[in-house]
Amino acid sequence: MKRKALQKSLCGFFVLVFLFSLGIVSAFASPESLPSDIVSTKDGLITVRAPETTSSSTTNNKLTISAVASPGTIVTVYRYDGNTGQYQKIWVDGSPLEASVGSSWLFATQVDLQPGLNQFLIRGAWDEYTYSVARFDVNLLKEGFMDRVKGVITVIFN
Amino acid sequence: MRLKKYLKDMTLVLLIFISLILVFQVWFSSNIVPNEAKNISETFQESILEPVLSFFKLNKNSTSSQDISSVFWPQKIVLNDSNKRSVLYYNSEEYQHFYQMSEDFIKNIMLGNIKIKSKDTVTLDEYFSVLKGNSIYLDYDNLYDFRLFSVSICGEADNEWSNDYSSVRECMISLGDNVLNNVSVYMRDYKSGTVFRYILEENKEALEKELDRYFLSHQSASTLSYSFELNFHKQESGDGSLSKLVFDPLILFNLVATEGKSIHSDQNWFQDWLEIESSRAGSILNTFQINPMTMLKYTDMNNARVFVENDGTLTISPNGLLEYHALESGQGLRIYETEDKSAFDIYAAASAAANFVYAVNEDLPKSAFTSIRFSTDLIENNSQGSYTIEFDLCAGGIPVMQTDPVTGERCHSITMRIENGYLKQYRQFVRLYSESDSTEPVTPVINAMDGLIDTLNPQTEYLSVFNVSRCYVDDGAAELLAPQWKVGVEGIQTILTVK
Repeated sequence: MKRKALQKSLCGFFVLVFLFSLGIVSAFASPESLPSDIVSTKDGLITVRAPETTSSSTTNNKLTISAVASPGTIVTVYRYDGNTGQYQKIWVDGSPLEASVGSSWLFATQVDLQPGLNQFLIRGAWDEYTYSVARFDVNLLKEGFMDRVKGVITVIFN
Repeated sequence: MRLKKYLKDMTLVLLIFISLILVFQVWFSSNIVPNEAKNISETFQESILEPVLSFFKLNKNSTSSQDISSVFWPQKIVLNDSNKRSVLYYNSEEYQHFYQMSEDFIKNIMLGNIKIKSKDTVTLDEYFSVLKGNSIYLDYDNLYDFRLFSVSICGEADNEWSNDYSSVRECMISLGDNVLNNVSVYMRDYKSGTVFRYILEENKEALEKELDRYFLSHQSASTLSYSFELNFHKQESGDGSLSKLVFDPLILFNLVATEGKSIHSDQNWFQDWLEIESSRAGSILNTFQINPMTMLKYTDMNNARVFVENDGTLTISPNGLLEYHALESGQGLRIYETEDKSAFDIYAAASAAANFVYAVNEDLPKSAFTSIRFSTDLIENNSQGSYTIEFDLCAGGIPVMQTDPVTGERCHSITMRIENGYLKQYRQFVRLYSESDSTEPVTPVINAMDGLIDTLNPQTEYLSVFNVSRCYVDDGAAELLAPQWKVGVEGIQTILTVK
């Protein structure tokens, strides 16, 4: 009888430990989406290094994003979705663009750009309630536009 | 009768001449005469023999560009497209193809076969931006005296560019972008910091066609970014916050883990190879000018064969470690002959070192998978005449770092110390590597840096990283070597490696 009670309490203990650890994980995981008007709850947790400006244009369909943050900061990359009016976490090959910053203080990743305006948000978080956000836009120019520029330059130099 | 007398006289003269040569050889190549008296021998060589030989062009210092180019080649070639990027290592067919093509191209510019439309200087930002468009980037990984670069490319130490450059590390061929059609070559002189751009009167079609062909046949997504693209080359951010790590702008970051081939190290081959035929040690002795007739020979406690000649000691260990030390009282092994000691500069030292390494390794077994290249900066230093020159043994084009048996630290495969044309010290890890079928993940550079800082000291406030490149590490025990990163940090002399 005593043995059964011991087994029960042990099982209960492991279930509790499991639920508690699940709670910790979900508490640290970044939200799948963020409202468009989200603001930082704590400034300076993350500094975006690339792109250098909050608005830029390119013909390269890949964008490199880099940032500096203190070790342990969870950095997540979001893209604005016009349909939902929210920033959505970016997933590539089944994994989110998300990493915990290590001792080097560095974070870097690469995203594919879609033609036209791409709006990004980087969230650096210590926990669910303590985070910084940084926004930037990148406009992917079409090849046709560059061809027109090239044509004009050719005319000028010839 | 007269003829007979004439023949007798001739024979007598010949015999006297031969006896003089033999006496000279016996006296000055052995311990019979003291070191001071050997100066007579050197004076004779420097004042009489060398001028005569150089008159007939028999001087053995004639720099062979073949020997230099066999150990002087880009550590990697990066092909850049506006959307894709790929790294090529020596031994791959594509590397050889693009290297040959780039080499021919630069050679033709240096020799004047390709006309330069204009030459100007550009800013570093403009220089780096070349790598964002269609371009071929030859990365030599170390700083080199320009003459070494020149002789390896066009076979001549001096050419039209010699006045512009002192030390170089890389060369970029730009095929222009969507807007401009110019084909240009960019090179930076690291001494003055000046970047020169040569706009050429050359059609870029051939190079562009090859670049397109490569990227069409290699469709895998590229996740490589240069440090300058990530702004990791600046310590201060726009908001004034500081970085802990600052990287050289041209360090290439792989942003996601990739796969890299492991290599197989054969640990016991050297002992077996030496034992099969006794003459094999003889060819090594010959290169170190050790005379089997006059040397002393014994086997030490570690079963290493030790050969003692009047000027130095050569030790051949069963594990493949080859070490030569000049005696303190002796001058060492003469590997470069010159009348004027001030003429023995870094170029002469590197040329002599390349020739010597070529000679040592000529008779050693080697596979097409391995190759040897210069591995340290070869530029003039403050102690002219005294140089340490190192080489890496590369497997599949990637250097294999060795482990010093005494200190346990990482070191290069070959280390030479040369003073005024004399070899004072030589150490070579004679190794045999072969391809393996197994692959291991190559961690992203950022994760490797995390690991490195944890190993060094997590509290480190600032590190300046000047080099991050692929390597293998041979500890002398493991048979399968996984890819690692070699990291060069300012102020840290030891070679750092991290998985």
